[in-house]
Amino acid sequence: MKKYISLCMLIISVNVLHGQFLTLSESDESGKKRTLTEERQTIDINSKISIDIDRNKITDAFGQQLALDGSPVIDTILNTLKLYKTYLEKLSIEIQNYQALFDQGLASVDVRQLDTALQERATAGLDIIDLFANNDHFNTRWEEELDKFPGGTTNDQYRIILRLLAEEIEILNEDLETKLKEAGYFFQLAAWFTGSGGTSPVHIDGFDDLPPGEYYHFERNKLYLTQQQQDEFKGLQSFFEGMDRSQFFDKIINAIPGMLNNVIDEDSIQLQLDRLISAITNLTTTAQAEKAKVLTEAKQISNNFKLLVLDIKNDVAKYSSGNNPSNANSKTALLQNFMTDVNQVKNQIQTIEDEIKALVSGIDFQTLGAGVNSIKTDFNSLQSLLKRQASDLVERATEGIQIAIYGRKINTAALEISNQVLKLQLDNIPSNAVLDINNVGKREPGDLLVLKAMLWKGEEKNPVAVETRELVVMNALPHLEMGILYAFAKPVPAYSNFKGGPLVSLLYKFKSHSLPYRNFLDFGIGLHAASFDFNNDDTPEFAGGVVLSFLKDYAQFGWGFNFNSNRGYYFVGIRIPIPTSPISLTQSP
Amino acid sequence: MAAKLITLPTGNPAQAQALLTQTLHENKVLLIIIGDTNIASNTADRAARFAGAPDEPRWVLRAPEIEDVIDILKAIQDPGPLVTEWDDTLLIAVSITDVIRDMIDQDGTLPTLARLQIAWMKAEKNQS
Repeated sequence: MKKYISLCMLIISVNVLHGQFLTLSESDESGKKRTLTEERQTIDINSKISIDIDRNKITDAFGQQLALDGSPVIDTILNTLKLYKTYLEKLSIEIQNYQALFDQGLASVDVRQLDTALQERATAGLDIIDLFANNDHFNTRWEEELDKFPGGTTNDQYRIILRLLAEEIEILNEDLETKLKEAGYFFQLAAWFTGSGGTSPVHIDGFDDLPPGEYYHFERNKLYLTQQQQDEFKGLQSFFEGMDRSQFFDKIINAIPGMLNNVIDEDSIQLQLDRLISAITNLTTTAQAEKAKVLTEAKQISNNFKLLVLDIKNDVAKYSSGNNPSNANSKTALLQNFMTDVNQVKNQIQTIEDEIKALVSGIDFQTLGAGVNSIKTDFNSLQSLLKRQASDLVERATEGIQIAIYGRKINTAALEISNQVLKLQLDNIPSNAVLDINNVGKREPGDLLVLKAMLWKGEEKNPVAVETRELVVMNALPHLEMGILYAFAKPVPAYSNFKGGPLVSLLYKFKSHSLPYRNFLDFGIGLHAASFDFNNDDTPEFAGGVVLSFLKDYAQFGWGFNFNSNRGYYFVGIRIPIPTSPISLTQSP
Repeated sequence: MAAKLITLPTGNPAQAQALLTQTLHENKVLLIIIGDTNIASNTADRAARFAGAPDEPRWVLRAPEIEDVIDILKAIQDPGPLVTEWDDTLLIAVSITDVIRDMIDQDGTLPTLARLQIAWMKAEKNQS
């Protein structure tokens, strides 16, 4: 049985001779398993990751490297292995083809079709027999196996040939492993976890001496109001007190202006420009033409800067005014527009930076005489400052959006391997390990687990081969969440206009491994409780009913019943990012 | 007696010829073992162990009296030709389309199981 399993593994591995070293599968809390095939993939935040290590592929990768380094023995072994695996695959396929006919009933199969299947299978089998015609080990083993044959189908007899070929491959692999061991090759498997607290190494049993991390189980079902939601709830009440409803949406997108306001240090830069212009104006020099040229260009830069400041203020006004698409449906469009504007601002900063660069490089400062060096230095530092601010702007604006859509991203190439990660020789590599995400410590959806398998040769600084897998954690399983929002209820039968009031909902969230879905659509269905004042007596009444939500609960609607005034109602509600808990589009630098 | 082994009757040439002709017409992959020696008998039994499931086309046919069926045997296509001397032949492997694809000489020894496997495979391969 063991032999049969390893034969199956070998056949499966034939197609991906140079493929991945790691086979990952996720076991979530519901007990379901899924294979993780992508280089970057989402997993549930409380899952266990099963890691299977394919030693055959590692041996292949090492062997190829050694052959590249000019080892003819290894080269021969590798080519032979490749040939054996090709034959193995061919016979395996033909056995399957014949089996398909056999299962369908050979009596009903057309004789030409049967003849073709027999021919193909026999050809594949005889090719292997011819290959080992002079191999005493193979032929002795074949006779032994046939002697023990208990009876069965003809496919069972061809499977004997497959098994014997697998044995020969195993013998060659062992030979290869010995030679690779002698050549000083080793393997490392390391893991890191990246969250808001930074990046830290993660322990994997059998692969490092790192201590296990702190156990933390992410609370999937939020059946209470978080501190943030409670603040939001308090804010909702004060937010609507005495508010002019025509300006209702003005405050929704209040995170963007805050960020745009901080794009550049306007006062400081303007001050520097004014000082530079003053310094040039007061410069005593005989090179009047050169001075006039510098002055003109500096004033041009100053004017462009004023235009940039004006544009940023316009953008701030644009994202602060009620003209914006503020309903939840156009949130994505809003983000896109915002990114377009961000890029435009960045380009303007870039233009000013280029102008300063051209000024500094185009002027013959020597002819201007003494006292000009500080002007040149100031221009250079101004240019550097603008360059940094332009890149900070885009980085800050995109990072928040990227985390929301794709999860956290890091430069995996720069991850430092702990010296507690073991250097394992081929025969010491464990065939599998289990990584329980609960043991990586505190984490939030969007955080990242990175696994890196590395093949090394001796003391070389760069690995021979690397396989990196990125797993973004998210609350993927179905769960319950509580939410609060401000709702407008229309009593039925209609006897008054919409009544506003806070509403608390308990929502069931569906299973999804899509981060964009969870961060933007995230449909929910559930129950709500609300307190509206239908009879205008300044005393809120108790009401409750069903609710549907979408766009991460920013938009909700449903039907309920006001128990005090004995009336049904339907409602729409929007979760409002009031000043106490603004929408976080960007991450603080 | 093995389930997929047909032994032609002795002392009744007509019946033997009829059975061989019928078997050849039945879309079977055949190992035909010739002779009444112990080696022929053992070879037939050993070959039949690898004839597969009842529905599969592999069958073993033993012809103890070659004189009874020699004309039919000689009529089987032999593009090789592989058989040059019928009296020295222990076994012929016949494809599903009734073409001789392999043969084993009588040399006084029992063919190995691996050799019988090769005979089956060559008959199935049905190519020269």
